[in-house]
Amino acid sequence: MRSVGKKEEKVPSEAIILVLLILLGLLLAMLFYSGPFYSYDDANYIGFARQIMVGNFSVEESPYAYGFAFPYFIAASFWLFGYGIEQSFLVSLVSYIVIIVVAFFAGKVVSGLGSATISGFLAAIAPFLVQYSTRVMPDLLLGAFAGASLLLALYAEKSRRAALMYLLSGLLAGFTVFIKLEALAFVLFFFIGLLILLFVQPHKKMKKHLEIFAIAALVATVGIYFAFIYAMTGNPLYTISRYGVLQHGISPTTLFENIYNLFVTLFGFTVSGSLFSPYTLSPIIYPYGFGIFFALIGSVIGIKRKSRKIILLSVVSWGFFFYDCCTYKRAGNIWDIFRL
Amino acid sequence: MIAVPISVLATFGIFSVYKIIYLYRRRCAMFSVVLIIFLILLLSLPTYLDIYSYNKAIALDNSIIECASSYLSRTGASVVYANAAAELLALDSNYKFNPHQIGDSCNSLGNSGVLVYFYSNESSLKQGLGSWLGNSCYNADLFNCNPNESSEIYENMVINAEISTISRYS
Repeated sequence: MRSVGKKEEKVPSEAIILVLLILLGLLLAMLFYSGPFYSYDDANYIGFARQIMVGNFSVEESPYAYGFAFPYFIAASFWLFGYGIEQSFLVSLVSYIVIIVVAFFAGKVVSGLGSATISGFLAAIAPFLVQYSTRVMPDLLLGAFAGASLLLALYAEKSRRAALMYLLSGLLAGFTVFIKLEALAFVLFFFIGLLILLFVQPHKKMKKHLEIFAIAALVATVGIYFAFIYAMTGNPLYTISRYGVLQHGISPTTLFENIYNLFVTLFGFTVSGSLFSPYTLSPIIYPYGFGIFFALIGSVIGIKRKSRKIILLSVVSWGFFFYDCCTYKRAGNIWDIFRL
Repeated sequence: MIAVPISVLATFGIFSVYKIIYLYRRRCAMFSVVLIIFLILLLSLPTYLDIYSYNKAIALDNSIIECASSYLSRTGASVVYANAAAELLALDSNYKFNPHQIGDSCNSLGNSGVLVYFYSNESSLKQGLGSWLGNSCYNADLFNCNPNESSEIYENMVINAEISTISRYS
């Protein structure tokens, strides 16, 4: 009876904490409200959504649509709720809330309700999320899909339907490429993380090699993306080449500069000595000060303990983080990392 | 993209510190967690202030664009501002280029003529954008503001997108 009682107590407290975190997110979104920026990509994405609704949207004619799924989400919002400013950033706002919820449950999978609370809280107050919560940019939608794919992979570890979980995880991870081409970096490190899980089996009694389902789904989804681009433009690498052309002019220059920026980001210091300053970098990629520092500690301890979940999270986050730093001046030029 | 794993890993790191402190000073362990969270919030504060001013600048910029578009409409010209503005203005079903509304927003901003001036012809557009952005940094990284760079970015973006519209208006 006691154990049942305890369970009944836990569920409401968990729900209350989650609701409070969501409310915190909504409050911050309201406080830092900007709305879509008329003179920036926001308006272009809205324009694409309107083109979709009237049936004349073309991937090859839309340079900003190198990841073209986002305008479809906005179009869906318009279709459901009508045209309007609020409807245009609804996708970002919902994605922000989804990220908080996913961080909460991912934290719970790793280390229980206390961890879930702090993890959800850190996601809710992350400045780079709050900043985009009322903008019409694809970044938060991308974060929501990437986060959900990781959560499913974490759940798969103990699920009876592990194969299905891994399959869905791979599909969601692969779909991120449709949202923004930069997600190829996420896909790459997620793929490496899955390979590590596949070949490094600290718990031998666990599911046998079911990660292969995630890998297969991931490869298939990314393959569909390139096939689609080929069908649309006659060149499977059209978006990549176009993206490189668009961003090349402001990409990083030297290896030293990239490595320097990596360390600046990791440890949050600048040459002027402002130790742990949380905003030494671009608002797009800056860490939340000590948060990033503790993420490093967490990774080291998790990997030392051979926790498969932490290994996966570490490979994805630090791998992508390294990539991001290497493309610091304009995060997103996927070729820059190979130019080092 | 890495918000979720970073949040979880940071939490794991904080808990690891908690456990280490717990071994030596049990009473201080929970306090250390609270202190870490407080420090994260404290150190994020300057960033939040920057975001706040940046987002308010966006809102102001949007208002100026609305205002200029309204001005054009009021003076009988076609609404020819950037496709960006036009798309967004079209979104707002309540926006009927109402003179009263124009008056309110323009009076509060005092910038109604700025963008109209830009659009009198292409060269004045460039000139106007240059001088306007010389005093402020729109679209650029506000944290490392470089007015010259920002005007260049802004010019390229707007001019490339709107060259046809501008010539139509002139």
